[in-house]
Amino acid sequence: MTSTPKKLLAGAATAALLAAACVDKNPTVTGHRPADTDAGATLQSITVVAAPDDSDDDAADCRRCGETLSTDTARGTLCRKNNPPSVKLLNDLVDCVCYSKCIDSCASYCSGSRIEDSCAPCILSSCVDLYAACQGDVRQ
Amino acid sequence: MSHLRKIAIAFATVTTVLACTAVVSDDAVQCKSDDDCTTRGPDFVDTVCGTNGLCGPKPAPPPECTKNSECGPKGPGMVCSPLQQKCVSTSTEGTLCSVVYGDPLADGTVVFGLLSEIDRLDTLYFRQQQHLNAAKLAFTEYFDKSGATLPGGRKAALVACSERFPRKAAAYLANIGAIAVIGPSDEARQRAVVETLAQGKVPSFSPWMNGNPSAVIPESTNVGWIASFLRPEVVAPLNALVAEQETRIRATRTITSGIRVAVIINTPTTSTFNAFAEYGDLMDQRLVFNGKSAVENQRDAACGGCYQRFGTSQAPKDVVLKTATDIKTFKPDIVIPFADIDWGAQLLPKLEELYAGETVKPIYAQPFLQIEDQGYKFLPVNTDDDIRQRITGIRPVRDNSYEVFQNKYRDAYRPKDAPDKLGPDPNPGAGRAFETALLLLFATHAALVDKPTAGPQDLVLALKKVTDKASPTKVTLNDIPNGVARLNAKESIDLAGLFTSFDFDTKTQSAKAGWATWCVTKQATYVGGDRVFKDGTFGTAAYCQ
Repeated sequence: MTSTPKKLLAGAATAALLAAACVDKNPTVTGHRPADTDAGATLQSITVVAAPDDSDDDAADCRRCGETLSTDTARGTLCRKNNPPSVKLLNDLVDCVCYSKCIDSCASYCSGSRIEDSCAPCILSSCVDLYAACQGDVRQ
Repeated sequence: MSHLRKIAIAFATVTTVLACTAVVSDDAVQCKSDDDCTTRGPDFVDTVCGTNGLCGPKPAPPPECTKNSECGPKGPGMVCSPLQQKCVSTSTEGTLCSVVYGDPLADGTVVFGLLSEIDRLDTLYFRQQQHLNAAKLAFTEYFDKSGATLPGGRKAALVACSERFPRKAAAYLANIGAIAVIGPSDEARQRAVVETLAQGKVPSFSPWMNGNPSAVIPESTNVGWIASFLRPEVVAPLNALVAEQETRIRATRTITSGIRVAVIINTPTTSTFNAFAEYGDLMDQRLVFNGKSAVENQRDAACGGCYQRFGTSQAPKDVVLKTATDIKTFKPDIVIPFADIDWGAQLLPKLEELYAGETVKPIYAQPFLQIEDQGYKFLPVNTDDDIRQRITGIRPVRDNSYEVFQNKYRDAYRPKDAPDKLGPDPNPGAGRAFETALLLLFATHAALVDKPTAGPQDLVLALKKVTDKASPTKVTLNDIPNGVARLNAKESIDLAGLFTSFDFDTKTQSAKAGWATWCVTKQATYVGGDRVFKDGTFGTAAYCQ
């Protein structure tokens, strides 16, 4: 055999190997799937799954309702797991003062600013029970 | 060609064909049964044997339903979920959700979601219940007051959830077929919401935050939207304002080595997410005065450290006094507060009290972000010219739409036991809920005009059509019928919100703001808007009088 045919045979063998090498390693993948979908991803129905949410436990430094009435105390997250929940006591009071009985008298206080002179009398006359419940909710 | 060469070529050809056949064979027959397919390997999961003997994808089953009424026999409260294509329960039991507008069970109803702290056990219920009320008001204005219907006579429903369990609530809203969600309100919960909604490509539009934590995840593309500006946008207009004030200070005060600036950053004592913290970093690095950055000023011994950052939060009086004393000791020419409502309620009045006997007092350069601080109004602005001249700031450009909205809100939410009285003033967060709800209604309308089966991502595509700055049709909350008519005519509109023009940047998925300066009047109102930030400046300097 001359050197040229040897080279040709060697080249042919190399080409064959390259052909084998250039295709997918997994011989079971023969390609009949649509290009834009994954196998098994053909169902159009989607169910959104929720990963677990963070714990709803109260923080150790959660605030009681009575600690929030003054704007001169540190702000914090209200306790939710005590009974009655501090956050509910405050929200019930806010509903009465800011959204029902003292809308005009307590406009500043309800916007988070300073308490105006007209506010306290309105609270004491119209939302006193809710105020007392909140005021009485303090850490023992 | 020699014989050997012919043999070699033939060998090469045959070998190649054999090799390819062995490896990537398009078998003439892959299977005779579905089992033959599934045994071919993990890539053939959920494939079936076709009549041509090849394994192919399992065909989608026919949808269980196409409209809500088909789900009636399945039980009460069942709707046909466009996402799941089957009947699902809208039962809100255990979800902290409720239907607050419309009937999601009616055929063709487009469902919208809202996530905020709206449950009575949520800490911010006192403030954020207004988010819900304001979104409801937008639906009422759109459908009931303006008489609009969505294309095809379809109606809308709003389902609102507490965001206390953000993933659970977001999954519930997506699975019942919400086309979009307003919220959440807490930046610490936004990524959880977007990660969940992204499974169904349901977009979330948060109007109450200025950061986008979900932006780091690729799945948030076209899902995690901020219907407001992002924090870094504040820097350039604030620098322009500070530059104006620096010129004024240098002209009126004795400045030997440089003006002095104090930045006040809200710093809560509890371990909650602090939306103001990023502003501190932005100011350190990018606030410019005396011709250099804030940190360079801080390190500049020649001016005695001309920059300092202070922390604040609602606190007992002695703590407030110490903070105010520390600030006064620093001798700032300009104070820039990035603070919550306690700034105006506590620290600002204490500072003014300490400065009462001084001749040189600080100028307050206040960026109004989400909450307009009420504190300045309680200073003697009606009688003291000096105070008014020392209070200024920047805020997103707006017209009087917010005030129009305030009137509508007060009229709509009168006290139940005193309907002759107006309801409370809405907070700016309520305004943002209102404008975002309107945006989503218009975008849904535009999407349905083009495509009766429009889904969540069609709404996203329609954003361009309802916020088209080139459109001659400018729409505000008072022009709902006109906006609907233009969309029905397949035209675009340019919807303006109360605080934003919805100039969406699709790259950051946020609505860039325009900025203007403001002053406080003798009547204790905030006025401004004439001097708009453009090309790095507010134009000719003008100071508050």
